[in-house]
Amino acid sequence: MLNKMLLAFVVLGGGTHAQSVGRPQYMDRAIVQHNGAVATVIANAPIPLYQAISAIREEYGWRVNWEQAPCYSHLDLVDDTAPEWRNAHPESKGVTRPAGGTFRSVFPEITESSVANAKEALEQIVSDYNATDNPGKYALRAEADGQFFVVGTQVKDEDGTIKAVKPLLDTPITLTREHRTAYATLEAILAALSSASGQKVIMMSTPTNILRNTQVTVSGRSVPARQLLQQTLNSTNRSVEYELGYDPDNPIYILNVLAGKAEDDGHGGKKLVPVDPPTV
Amino acid sequence: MWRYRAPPKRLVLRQLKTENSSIATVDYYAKHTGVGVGSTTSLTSGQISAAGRATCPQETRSPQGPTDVCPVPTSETTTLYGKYQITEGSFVMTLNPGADNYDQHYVTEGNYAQGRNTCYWPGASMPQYPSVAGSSWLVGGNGSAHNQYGLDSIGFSSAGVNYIQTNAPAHGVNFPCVVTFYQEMSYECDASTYYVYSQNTPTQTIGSNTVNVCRAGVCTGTIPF
Repeated sequence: MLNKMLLAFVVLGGGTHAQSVGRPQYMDRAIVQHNGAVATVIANAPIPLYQAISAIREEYGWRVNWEQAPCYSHLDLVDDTAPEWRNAHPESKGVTRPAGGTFRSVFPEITESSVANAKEALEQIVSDYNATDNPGKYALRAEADGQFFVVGTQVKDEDGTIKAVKPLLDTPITLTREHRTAYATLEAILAALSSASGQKVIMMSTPTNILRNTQVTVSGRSVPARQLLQQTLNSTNRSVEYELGYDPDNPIYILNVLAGKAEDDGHGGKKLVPVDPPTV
Repeated sequence: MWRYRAPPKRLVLRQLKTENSSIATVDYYAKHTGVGVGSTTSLTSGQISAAGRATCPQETRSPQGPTDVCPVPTSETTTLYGKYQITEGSFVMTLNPGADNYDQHYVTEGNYAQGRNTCYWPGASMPQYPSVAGSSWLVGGNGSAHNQYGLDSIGFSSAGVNYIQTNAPAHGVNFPCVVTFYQEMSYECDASTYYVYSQNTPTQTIGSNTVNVCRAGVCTGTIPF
């Protein structure tokens, strides 16, 4: 009986704790289907828009950067604490994951690759996502150089009310003029961003060799951190994109930088290949 | 009314050779085979002929062109250079065989299979399928010794490793967890010709308070972290 009551408490949630459900079977990757004049992307993940965007990026080779909405509400999160760990740490608050699941979007098929067509498709996908109850609401931003940014702009509060959030990379920062490696410049940007925003930001995975072999001079006074980040990554002359994730349990922002283009590996998976030959 | 259509002209090669057969040889079908490293000139000679009712006088042509034989490494030897920011391993590579000169050519990395990351959990902000970045290095350049290139730095940053150590167990990840890449090395003979000469499986093994990074069987050893 006690066990049943405990289970009911965990499943139904208590107070502001994240909803607790078993970990569902997510998809490893989103699927992109081509059906004549339209294409469909199907995702199933804690943040299905992220999975969908990743698949679209690989399918069409578009440069799409990602900034995760900083969801914190128990309505946007579910308990993800492993039972074994819970047993060993009964007093700890445990960990969560975003409460997303399935997502499907139908968008105009890309018959001619252009920035306008890419923007139309991405706008449709983001719009379709925002119409679901999956965590976070997002906006699409486009740059003149053909890059896109899918930016988290709204999250639920504990009452379920949708509230606007200022994207972290909109934070104005100042970076003094200095000749550094791209890697050191990224570190300086994240340090300035952490200082200006009060949020902890770390680098997780980067194309280390490329960033450490590229010298840049990037500076700015009270400019959005995103602008300096883009200047630094563009200076590598590679197709480099970033993904800024968020972990509400710590809380912490996590930067990953990606380089290369995914291709079928011939074994049912994907492999990354260089997008441009080295210059001699 | 009919119109005469000239048959196609044919170049009948009478001679196929290189100026220096110790660098490259040519067979009857114009197949070139590299013998030694260097540059020479391919020579041929023949007559343009045409069959049919109306024929032109046969003309002799002697086209020629450069033939370069590029030494391609057959393997590489990995040496540990050191650690970078505690949790990353940095490696220097030497191309083999050492009798040839590979300096001023590029080597480039690619993926030959999809990477694996047992440190990942659904929703984690890290690559579920890690991959190399497509980096290129100039052999003998940027401070590297003769026939060497580097550094190849491998692994998540110390902040990233700390994030995994702090959070992964509660999500059900067991230590040690391993990040595995499938790295394929290609050697550039010229701007458009690359030869794959090596495949590696670099790993970063993360424990609750240790890290170990390996490339081609060469490891940093257990790093307390």
